[in-house]
Formats: sequence, C-alpha cells, structure tokens
Amino acid sequence: MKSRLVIAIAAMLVSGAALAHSEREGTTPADGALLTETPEMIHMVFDDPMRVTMARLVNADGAEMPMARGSGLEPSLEFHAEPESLAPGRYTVEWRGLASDGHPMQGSFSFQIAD
Amino acid sequence: MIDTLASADTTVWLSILVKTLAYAATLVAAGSVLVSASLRELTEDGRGALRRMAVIGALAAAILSLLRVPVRASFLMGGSIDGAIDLMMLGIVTESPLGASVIVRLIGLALIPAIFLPMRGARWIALIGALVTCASFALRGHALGDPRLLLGALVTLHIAGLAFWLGAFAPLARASRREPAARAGALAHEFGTKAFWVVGALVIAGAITLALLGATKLDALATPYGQAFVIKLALFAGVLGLAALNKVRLTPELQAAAPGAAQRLRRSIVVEGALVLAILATTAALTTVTSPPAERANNAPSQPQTMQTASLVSRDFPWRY
Repeated sequence: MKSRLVIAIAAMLVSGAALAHSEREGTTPADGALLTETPEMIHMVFDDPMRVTMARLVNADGAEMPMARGSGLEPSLEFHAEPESLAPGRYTVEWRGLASDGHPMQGSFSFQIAD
Repeated sequence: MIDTLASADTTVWLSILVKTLAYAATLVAAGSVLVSASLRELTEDGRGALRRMAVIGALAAAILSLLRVPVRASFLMGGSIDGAIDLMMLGIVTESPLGASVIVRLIGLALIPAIFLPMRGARWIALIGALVTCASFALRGHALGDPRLLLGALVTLHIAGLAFWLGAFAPLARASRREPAARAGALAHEFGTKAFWVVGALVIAGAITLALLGATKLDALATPYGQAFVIKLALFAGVLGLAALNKVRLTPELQAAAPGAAQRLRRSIVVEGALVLAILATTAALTTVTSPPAERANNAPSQPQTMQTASLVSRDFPWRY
C-alpha cells in the first residue's frame, strides 16, 4: 500500500513535466538537410512567440558566416535571416532567445551543402 | 541531464551557480524572519543572531538576484561579456518575468531589515517583506500559467515552507553549540513540532501545483527534466529522513541532555543543509538546462524538446527547400 502511495505521489510530482513552453516547431533548412546550394533563407518557426536575441551561422571550423538578419528583436512566431553564398560543407545555425513565458532558450540545427 | 550539463557553456554554469546561491540567500533571509516570528523558544541572544542572519541574507540575496539580470543578458547574447552590459539586452531581461520577479524580490528583501527597527510593528514589516520575497518566486516560470492566482499562492506557500525549514538550520545549530542542552532541546522540539505541519504544507502545495500544471505521465521520466526531478525527489527524501531522525531520536536525546547529543544534532543539520543546497542546485540546473516536455509535445511526432538546450528537433514542412 505504501509503495503504491509513493509511486502515485512520484507520478503526480513528475507530472509537472507536462508544462508548456514555446517550442521551435521546424526549420528551413531542416535539421540534417543535404542541400545542393546555399539556402535562400534560414527560417525557424515557433509555436508561441519567441524573442530571438542571437542567431549565428557557423561552419564546421566554428567560424561565423555572414548572415543578414530579417527579423527584429520583438517576440515573433517566425525568425528568418539570409545567409551569403556558402561553400560546400557543414553549417550550424545557433540561436538563443526568450520564450513568451520568460524562459531563456537556446538551440541549433545543422545542414550540409554538397560539393 | 548529465549530457546536457556536459555540453553547457560557461554562461550556463555561471547561471546555475548564481541561481543556486540566490535561492539559498533568499530562502535564508526570508526563513530567518519566519523562524524568528514563529519560534517562542528562541533566546534573546539567538533571536539577535537570527536577525543579523536575516539582514546579511537579504543583502546577499539582493546582490545575487540583481546579478541574475546581466548573467541572463549575457546568455541571450551567446555568452559574451558584451551581452552582460548591453543596455538593450538588459532592458529586455528587465521587462521579462525574471525582471519582474527580481524587482518584487528586491522590494521584499528591502523590508526585511525592518526587523531591527525599535518600533512597534517593525516585526510585521519584516514579516511582510519575507512573504513578498517568497511571492516573488511566483512571478515567473510555470507559476504564470492558469489558474494563476491559485498557482501563485501555492508556489508562495511552498517557498515559504522551504524558507522556514532552511531558516531554522542556523539557530538550531547555534543553540546546540552555545546553549544548555535542555534549552536547545526545547527549541529543537518546538521546531520539530511546527516543521511537521510546515513540511506537510510544503509537500502538499508542491504536489497540487504540479498536478495543476500537468498531466500524470510517468514517461516524463525519460526526459532530462523528469530525471532531474527524480534526483531532486531523492535528495528531498534524504532531507525528510534526516528531519525524522532529528525529531524522533536526536531531539529527545538533546532534551534528556544525553552525552554527545548536541554534536550529533549539529552534524545532522550540516548534512541536512548540504542536501538542501544540493536540492537548490538541482532545481537551478533543472530550470536552466532543461525544460518540461511541452503539452504540445503530446501531439508531436518528435521527442520532447528541451528549451534551454540544443537538443532540438526538426520536422518536414511544406516550405522546406
């Protein structure tokens, strides 16, 4: 009986894990995408307004690539930026931001440009 | 959780450290006021030490809480020092729930030194300050969800309970070291009796809060957030065990002036304090590098996404290249 009670309490406590934050729903290019040319746009979509405070594009060596940011610092469901022409190789988009509930967020996704 | 921490950068570690210390100092400051107001067995000397502890704690909590703003700004700018002093970023953080929470906390902490004022009602001002300080925890994170008022009250109650518990460590240790065994035993007995109800309220408030916020799914254990929560629960179970030992065995021994009882109680309090610190550190890490799986994740085909970490998911979209 006691062990059942403990499990029930643990379940109830852990159930707090089902709370909502804004999430990044998808990206362009998709994470892991293999492209034949430089993407026209780096695009992220969130399911709740996100204030993207930092976004940068880095190559496999960690060097930052030029990228013209198209979105401002206001909370938005979308973020976009235009990269300059990229050589073949692997690239990662790193971003940080504030979710609508005030939580700091960070994330990254990668894509590859084939030779 | 461990993987996420292993890949965390300096700003994240700094954030966890500052957050842990801010939690501890804030709880000690508020808790010292709550303990001073509720334990009658405190000696005048002990009460004086507790007042000093409240003020020192409030000062440390104010500095650490303020420090969280530039640390957050730095994180948002990719971990750079420039970010910590970037006025626009500091403004964004101040406008966020963290900013509101820090401002309310500073107001509460500023009222705590009133505990020293030689005037009628000063104790009540400090008490209000302690409760406002506890309420500041309800102004951010998931406490902002619905039903907001109830969640805010429950979070405040939970924090006040924790503060009372934490605030009693120093006076109990002090009494066991400096005061006659009977006197220290009486204080420990009074604390044990009141803590029984306080801890009960703390646990119930925490459990209802979580039940209100989420569903009942054990698969959350598979997420970093769930795992960190289990660590927190395990540490809490350890604290409860020690608290029970103090109440059932060590306090009666102290009251009976058994040889070495005071020393054993002090040792137990030190371990209890270390465990509480570990709980606070786990909570700080939990809220910094992981996030609960979103409700929407229930409908999502991908793994739950952590908010603050880089373990992101990607899906096919119509506009994909």
